[in-house]
Amino acid sequence: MTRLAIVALCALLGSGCMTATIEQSRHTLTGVGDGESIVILARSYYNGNNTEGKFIDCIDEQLAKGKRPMTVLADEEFRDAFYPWFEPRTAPKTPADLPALLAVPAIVERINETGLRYIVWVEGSTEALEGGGNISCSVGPGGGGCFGLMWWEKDSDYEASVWDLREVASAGQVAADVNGMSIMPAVVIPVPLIAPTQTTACKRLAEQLKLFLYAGVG
Amino acid sequence: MRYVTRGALVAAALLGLYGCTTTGTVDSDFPDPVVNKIPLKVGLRYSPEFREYIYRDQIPGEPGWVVIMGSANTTMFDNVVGGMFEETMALDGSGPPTDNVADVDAIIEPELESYEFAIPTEWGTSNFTVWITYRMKMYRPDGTLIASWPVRAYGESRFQFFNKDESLADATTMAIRDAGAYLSLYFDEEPRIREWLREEAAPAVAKRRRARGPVKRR
Repeated sequence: MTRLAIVALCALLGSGCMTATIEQSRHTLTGVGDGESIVILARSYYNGNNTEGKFIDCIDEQLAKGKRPMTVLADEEFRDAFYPWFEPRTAPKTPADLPALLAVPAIVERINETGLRYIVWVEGSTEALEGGGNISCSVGPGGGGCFGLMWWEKDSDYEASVWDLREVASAGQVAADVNGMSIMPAVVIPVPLIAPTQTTACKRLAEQLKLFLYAGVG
Repeated sequence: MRYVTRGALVAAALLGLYGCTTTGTVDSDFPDPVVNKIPLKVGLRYSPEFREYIYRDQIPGEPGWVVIMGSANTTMFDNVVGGMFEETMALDGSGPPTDNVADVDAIIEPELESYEFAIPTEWGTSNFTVWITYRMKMYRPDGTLIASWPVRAYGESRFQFFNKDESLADATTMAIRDAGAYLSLYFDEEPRIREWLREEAAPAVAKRRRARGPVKRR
């Protein structure tokens, strides 16, 4: 009954309904100096992660614009420049793996050339959860149409782990969990009202990441 | 008129069947590895089958798959082996050298042992998955075998319904990159190779280091 009430309310409001939870935990002080850059990478699929490429692109875009835009290295160009050290099989899994990486002179040279200060690992994905309802369509001599209502729930749950290459340690984590109800009422024509959970998660996560990186100066 | 109609129907059916085959051409753009070079000169050779490798899978009554990857394979190995060793030289022919190959410390010849993939609907995932096994063979200049070992690679790429060919090609690219990453980072951990580097190849390594001169320390 409660779920039906939510669906009806969303239908009245004419858009999907969403709730967002943002969390943050800090391990070290941060800050972004002139000439310093960051890179956003999806965690490896070797660990079962399935973060969408377009989500990473969205985070890149959000961080590179607005107030205090950041210098963001494109993930594909980064992986090429640092090949073979950030492939799904070979990428460092924890900050404890960083010293071995930084012992390679050519890697340190590349880091200095690019001004790389933070590596941000993103894991999580957008999944469709339960749904319900029914739409029936029919066509007759006088015309056709659809009638009914369908709804489905989506959850976009992502976590970003920030590694500071200067401190050679984890700086902390930022997480965004956006849950939304999409509906599709059909009165002759079905009209999908999609809850943009992934886009919202991207924007909220990027906002929080910027705050985390810029605001944590000692 | 009847023959024209029949001919048109046959042509349409043939086009339909052809259209059911998904053909992916794997990109031949691979980066050079950022690794410490082994101070040796190696010859690199490929068989014609390896250079022109095309995977075909056609089961009657089911959509067919074609993956064109010969050029991608040779480019990856050219770049990776070129990045791993101080000098490389392209050699003609294939199989164990029958005549002593002058001016190289060893000869490397990769072969493609197997290529397999799974489509998302088979596994209930959202990704194309590719497995490739290469067989690496390394010979002395006189043609005797130093080592033969498999390099098993894995790649994934998100399924795109209207770009299945691109998805499969991308997953194959990830697998080829995976093989190159493994080879460039773990080459000298292969037991027979480690033994060869430590014993047989040691004089050649020392000679190149002496010729290079002392490394300047700052």
